[in-house]
Amino acid sequence: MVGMAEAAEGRVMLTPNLGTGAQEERDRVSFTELRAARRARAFAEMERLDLDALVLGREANVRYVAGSRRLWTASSRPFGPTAVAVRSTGRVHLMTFSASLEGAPAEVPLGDVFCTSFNVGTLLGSLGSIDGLRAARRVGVDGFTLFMRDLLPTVVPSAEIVGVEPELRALRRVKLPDEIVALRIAAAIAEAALVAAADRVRPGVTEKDLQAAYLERMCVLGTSQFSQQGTFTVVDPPGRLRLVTSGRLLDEGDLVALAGGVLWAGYEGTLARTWRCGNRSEPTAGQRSLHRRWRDVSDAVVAACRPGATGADLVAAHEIAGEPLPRMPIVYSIGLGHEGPIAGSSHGVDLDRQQVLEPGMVVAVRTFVAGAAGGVLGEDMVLVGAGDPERLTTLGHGPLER
Amino acid sequence: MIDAASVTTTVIDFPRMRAQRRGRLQEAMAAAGLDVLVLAGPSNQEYAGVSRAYADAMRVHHEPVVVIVPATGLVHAYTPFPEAAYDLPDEHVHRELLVEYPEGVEALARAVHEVVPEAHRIGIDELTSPMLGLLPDLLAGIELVDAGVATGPARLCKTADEVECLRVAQRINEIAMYDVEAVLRPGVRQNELSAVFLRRVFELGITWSCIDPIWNITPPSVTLQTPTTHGGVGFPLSSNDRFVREGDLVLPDTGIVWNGYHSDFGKTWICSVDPRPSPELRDCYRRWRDVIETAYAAIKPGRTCGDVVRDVMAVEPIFGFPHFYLAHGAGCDSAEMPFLGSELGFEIEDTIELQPGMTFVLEPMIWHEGHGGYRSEEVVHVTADGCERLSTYGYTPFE
Repeated sequence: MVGMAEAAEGRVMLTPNLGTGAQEERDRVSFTELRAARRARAFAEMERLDLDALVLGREANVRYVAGSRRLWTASSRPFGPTAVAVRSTGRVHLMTFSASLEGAPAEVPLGDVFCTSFNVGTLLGSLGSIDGLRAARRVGVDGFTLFMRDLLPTVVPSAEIVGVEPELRALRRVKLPDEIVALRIAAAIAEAALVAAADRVRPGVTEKDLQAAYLERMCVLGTSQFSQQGTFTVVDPPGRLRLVTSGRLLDEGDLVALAGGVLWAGYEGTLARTWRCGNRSEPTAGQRSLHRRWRDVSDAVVAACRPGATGADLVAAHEIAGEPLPRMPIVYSIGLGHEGPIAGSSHGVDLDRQQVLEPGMVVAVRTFVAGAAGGVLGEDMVLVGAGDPERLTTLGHGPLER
Repeated sequence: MIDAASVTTTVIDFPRMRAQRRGRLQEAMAAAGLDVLVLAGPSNQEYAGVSRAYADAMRVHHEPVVVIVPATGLVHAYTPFPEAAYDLPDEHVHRELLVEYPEGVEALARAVHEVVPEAHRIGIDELTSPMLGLLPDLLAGIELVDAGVATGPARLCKTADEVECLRVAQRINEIAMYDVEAVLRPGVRQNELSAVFLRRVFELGITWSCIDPIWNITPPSVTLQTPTTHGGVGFPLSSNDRFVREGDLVLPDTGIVWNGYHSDFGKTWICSVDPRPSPELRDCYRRWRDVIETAYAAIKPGRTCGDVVRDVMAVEPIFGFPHFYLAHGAGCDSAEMPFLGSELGFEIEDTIELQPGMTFVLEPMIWHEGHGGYRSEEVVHVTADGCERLSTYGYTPFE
């Protein structure tokens, strides 16, 4: 999708002027064009899948198809109709919690925006008033509840309702040029936030303090939305990775895993590093050795991120480096958030084999190595291009790399 | 360990709390005739004692957690976060099921058959795309119903430990808001307020942040705002890097999660080098006080949600935004059943009797078109003979 051809035409800046605000000499991302391009791809996909309408509830799909920015919430968000795309009219309709047009893109008129309602009658009335929806024969949804299973057919009485999240996920995985720019900006924010956490690593600071520093810096840079709020934990010998950040105090000599994810314009920046705590002593030979092992296996997997490679190939690259697989996927797709595991999922090689890398995909490569000296976690964002993969996160590794 | 427990002297017995919640779930399952619950929703899982390492904005950031609750016996957790599956023996904590893929849904069906071989009726809270197509065949002969028939009644009234969790959550939220209020000066940006807030709440040991902090800059007239679907005041608006300027009426709305329980903080502030409410705004505040005192007096066991709404309407017929309500429940979700003064109407709300242990966030708002309005949120729990406030924050600059 994205490549040197577009770059040469000036479509993508070869030396991107990454930042979070606007300056007059150049748009970092043309959101008007990006929304139009995403929407065109979504409607083409509806055509390909023979879908007359999409009823979407998930954050990534709503952003992709409708381009709206709704109130960010995490955790508790069961499926509810939030964006409705109708193929026969080419229109996208929005449900909003605030009743306001703020956050809705300019191309969606007031008449196509509805206020969310707890009242079933009101909700059905809003959905029922959408032009062209009632006649739909096939409707795609990205999630469901049994409540909606009983309700939605009253709005689309003659429609077959099918789950299309896997198809939408596949669509989102291959990025448009402006999406890559957005991901580069998100990567830069994530790095800045991680540095703020790393700078706070010292004996007597708590794990939660590191998380606080990360999120504070992220907000100062203009986005208060994170994709997931991260893991900031001491990795004790013999190297069991705790994912739950606690109130534990850091001590001299600790290895500390730092991982977090931010969102910018909905796009995710994510990375992880492992920092050594302490200023009285240098890393031990064992700790340096762990980091070298991490570097070797990470380089091997990143190098394998080429078009045509499958998740199984990436797992093989990990194994050839001589490291056991951690209890987590080692490669997953990222864009408007997480787009599913690519390598090392809990369902093993069959699912991995179905995941095929294409140019224009952005993946997170995450590896963890453990030993008697503790463990090292690291993660980078990687752009799959026509040729060599490009690391979008470039942050160094601090004391362990000395 | 230094954590948020240090901000309170409250003693919460977490194993007891989880055991009581699981007991309530199983009682509710028996009453609803369910053999098993399959839970994908984070707040229901939390209630069943299976938490996550972090809140996830995207629904599938990491491999989803699935919890199977049999009507009798121990919970099974399928999770990438085994350390957050509490009180369970190792053989009940399994690797995650990729229920976003057909392979994962097939594995889920096998797990259900293994855990409860004789299941006839299953409650499920959320369906993924592949579940929608595959589960009816994979679980042929088994009736699938909404899990809410059991999770709803179980979660309606809180145990003493749960109420204390809500108190701690609210306390942490309020402590952080003192810092935010101190930096609310002309020229500050919304994202800077969020930075102060998030830093402080995490330092105080919160478990998750689950909502983007809201700093709703509210114009004095609906004619000056971005259009809304109903022509009334738009709320809540997402934050960005917007400057807060002299004279802006700011309606913050923030919430955090502490050990599974959501706080809720709403207030009305004026951004100014010398914040002084106009007489009209002071009047809104006075009327808001009348409403809130009326609600406090009305909340008693034995009365219904509808009764409270009627008492308030006798004082102020219009007590909030057109699309909002007088109050919502609070617990493992930031807004949960029961609702008061909502679009559900008296038909539903008259059927819900107040009981000790119910928890509410009261959030009336009094608007004076052309001058703005006053809104504040108050967290209360229903006691044996009335209600107790869990919120303690004041009302500057209106007091």
